[in-house]
Amino acid sequence: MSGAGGPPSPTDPIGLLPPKVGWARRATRSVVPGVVAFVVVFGGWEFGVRYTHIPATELVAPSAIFRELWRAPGFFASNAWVTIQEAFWGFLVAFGVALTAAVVVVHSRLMDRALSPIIVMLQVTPILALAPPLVVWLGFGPQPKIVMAALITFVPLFTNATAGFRAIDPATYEVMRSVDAGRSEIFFRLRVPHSLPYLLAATRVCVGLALIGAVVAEFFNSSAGLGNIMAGAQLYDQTAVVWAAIFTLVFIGVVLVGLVTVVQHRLLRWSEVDAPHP
Amino acid sequence: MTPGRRANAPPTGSATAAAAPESATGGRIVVDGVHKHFFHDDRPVVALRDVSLSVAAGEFVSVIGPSGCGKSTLLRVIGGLVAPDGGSVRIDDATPDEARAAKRFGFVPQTPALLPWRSVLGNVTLLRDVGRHRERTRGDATPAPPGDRGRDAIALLEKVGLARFAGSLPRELSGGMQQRVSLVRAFALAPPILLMDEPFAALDEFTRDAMRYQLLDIWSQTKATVVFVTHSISEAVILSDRVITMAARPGRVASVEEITLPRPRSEDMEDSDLFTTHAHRVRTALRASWEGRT
Repeated sequence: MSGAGGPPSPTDPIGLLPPKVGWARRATRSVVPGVVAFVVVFGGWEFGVRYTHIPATELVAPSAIFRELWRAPGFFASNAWVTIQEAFWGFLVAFGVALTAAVVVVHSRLMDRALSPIIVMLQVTPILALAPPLVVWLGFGPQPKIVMAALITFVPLFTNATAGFRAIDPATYEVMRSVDAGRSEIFFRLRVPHSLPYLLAATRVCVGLALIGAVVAEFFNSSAGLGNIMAGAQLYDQTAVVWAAIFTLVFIGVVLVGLVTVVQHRLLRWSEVDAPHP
Repeated sequence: MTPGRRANAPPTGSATAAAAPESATGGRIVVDGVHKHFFHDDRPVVALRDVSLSVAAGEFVSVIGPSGCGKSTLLRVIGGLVAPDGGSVRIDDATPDEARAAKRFGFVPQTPALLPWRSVLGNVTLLRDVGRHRERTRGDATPAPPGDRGRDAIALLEKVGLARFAGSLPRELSGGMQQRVSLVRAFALAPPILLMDEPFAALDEFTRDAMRYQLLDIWSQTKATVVFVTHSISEAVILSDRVITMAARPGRVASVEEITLPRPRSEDMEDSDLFTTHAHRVRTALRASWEGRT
């Protein structure tokens, strides 16, 4: 049907509203562009590698990478699980510390002034460069990986938590004060809900960061994990294996970010900024 | 008994309230020689200089004046949200802070200031829920019976035509509807004193006009004391028993106009000679205070 309107109906007698679109067609519309882009990128890659005769140690075709994954899915899965756990615990530690620090900073100007130089220092430190010394200090176990994931996610979590706690509307704050709401009530009734959009946005960013932190720490002295696979395969020129590990990592990241997005839509229906459009 | 009223609300008297009778629940405000200054770019700015006024229980008083005359500051000093540098404020026999703790103020700011994640009903009952834990442990409050709380709020929402939106989120409402929710939230506390800081200033003119009479309608059933900050002369005259004009720099009371229009007020009174006379006098006072500034 061309033109603006659909067929007349009881709710729309002159057919002004756009025609109703079925879920199948809507899904097709939202998925097709992504699929096309995917095919173009990977098709181009495959084509490029096959017809330019780049040596397999330098760049491998996607087909070779997928073949590697297909050959030993359990191997990649079990190592991925190691990395996921390190990243998860690192994120959780950072989340706890960042939230505590944000609560302190929001409620005490003195602590805000005391902590802000340290936060800035942490922000400008190339955290990944800390991997070798961390391994020296903390040994071969999961600890250096967890610490690495925590360090790299701390600053985004802290800045967003602070911004969220401070994002309260001054008029609403006054209304709460007018009935003598105390600090803790203002915190739980105003600041915490206001910080949710910020914290979830930060979490989305930190999923990728935590995985990076864990993998980079695994490069140095580890016995398992995707970073361990990459380091080992690199040593023996198994470029396809390195790429297979990277693909696994990307897959994990996509799934986790998707999960966070679902949580965002569930929890933030009230938010005007990030509301899903009906 | 009208729904939306608590047992401690004053009796619904006839609404001719130039000198409203002193009700048992109080609501009398006495401001005595209040000073307040702020620092602006490290220079002190006197927001209020020697401001004294008293508001009888059940009286509707508007405070009007140019920007920067300290009218909003005065409202906040009365409500205990800003501490004065000198002078005193009494709410019946209590300080503003004590009155705040006893939830004797209903505060309506210029913006709706609703919690976006709470439903309309949730927002309306929010202020009653605040400090309930404290009240329970201290045992000095008489909480309404649980079934009553929601019903009161629904009755008030019905009065402003929003009952069917009780379950909606604020963002699903227009600006005028949100502001009505904000009004209902203040009235739902059944406070003896209502403090309103230009509550209709952000609304379009049609909505504003309608809201005036809706406000008077709800208010006439509670007879709470109202201090209403505005910069609309017609709004001040049609709503109030008294209009206080303030002058700026330093903020001070410039003049007081008694409004003798009978109650209940209605829209056609805005065309009456009496209304015009009052409005003219307020405008003259306002202009004098404005010219005196420079």
